[in-house]
Amino acid sequence: MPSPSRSLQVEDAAFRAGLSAQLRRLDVASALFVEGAGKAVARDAAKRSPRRTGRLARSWSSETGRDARGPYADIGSEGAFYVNLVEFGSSQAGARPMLRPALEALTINVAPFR
Amino acid sequence: MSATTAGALKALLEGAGLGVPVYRDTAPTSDAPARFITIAEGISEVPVGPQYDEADGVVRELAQVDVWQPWRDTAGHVIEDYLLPREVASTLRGAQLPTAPTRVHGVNVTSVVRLLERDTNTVHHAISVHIFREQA
Repeated sequence: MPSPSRSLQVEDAAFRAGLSAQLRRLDVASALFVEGAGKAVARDAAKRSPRRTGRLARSWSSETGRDARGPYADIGSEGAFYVNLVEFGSSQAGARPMLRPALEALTINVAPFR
Repeated sequence: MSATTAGALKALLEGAGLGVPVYRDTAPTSDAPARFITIAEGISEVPVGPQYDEADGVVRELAQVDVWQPWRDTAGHVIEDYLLPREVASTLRGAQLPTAPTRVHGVNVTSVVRLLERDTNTVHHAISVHIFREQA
């Protein structure tokens, strides 16, 4: 008994055009996603920052960009030179981590970051 | 058996023959040695979904291992031990922490940051580690 077989014909040009369109949509969606994630981490880091004048909390920001690997978010603190001493601690005061827990928290609900 | 993850990290580092004392959270204020290590555990703890060979109920705990040492001697010569932080990171990388209170799947070193405090003549290496372990 001959084995059942099926054939599938793909129109090459239409397939390529469709694939390109889907990739463009994915690219836009991932850029928006990374931008949102970066802002969420910066907001969370601000919330976790110890407050005296509020300068440290206000210093967090997220900038998005694109490199060979795709879109990225650069999250950092500007204007608070002592941010590393707070985040990692010093010989005078213990660490009060802000950025790292904020990044970790992002992974709880956002599956692609797990 | 250690009571906490930090205790298990302490046991691991003390057993590695590094020649420096290891403390939880902070070193004693009096008679603190020149070089020492402190461990801060539970900075964050997030569940890890089932993936690869990890079962449900696995969490990823973020902890920080700090290496403290003097930067220069009184004559101004650098006395920082460059190898010590590398040895600590190497000991931590991939460790299974057999004395931990819950089963540990592995330890990853995620970053090593060197911070120089000129006013206190201290070099501080902050080593961030992820500990993949069963939920308590």
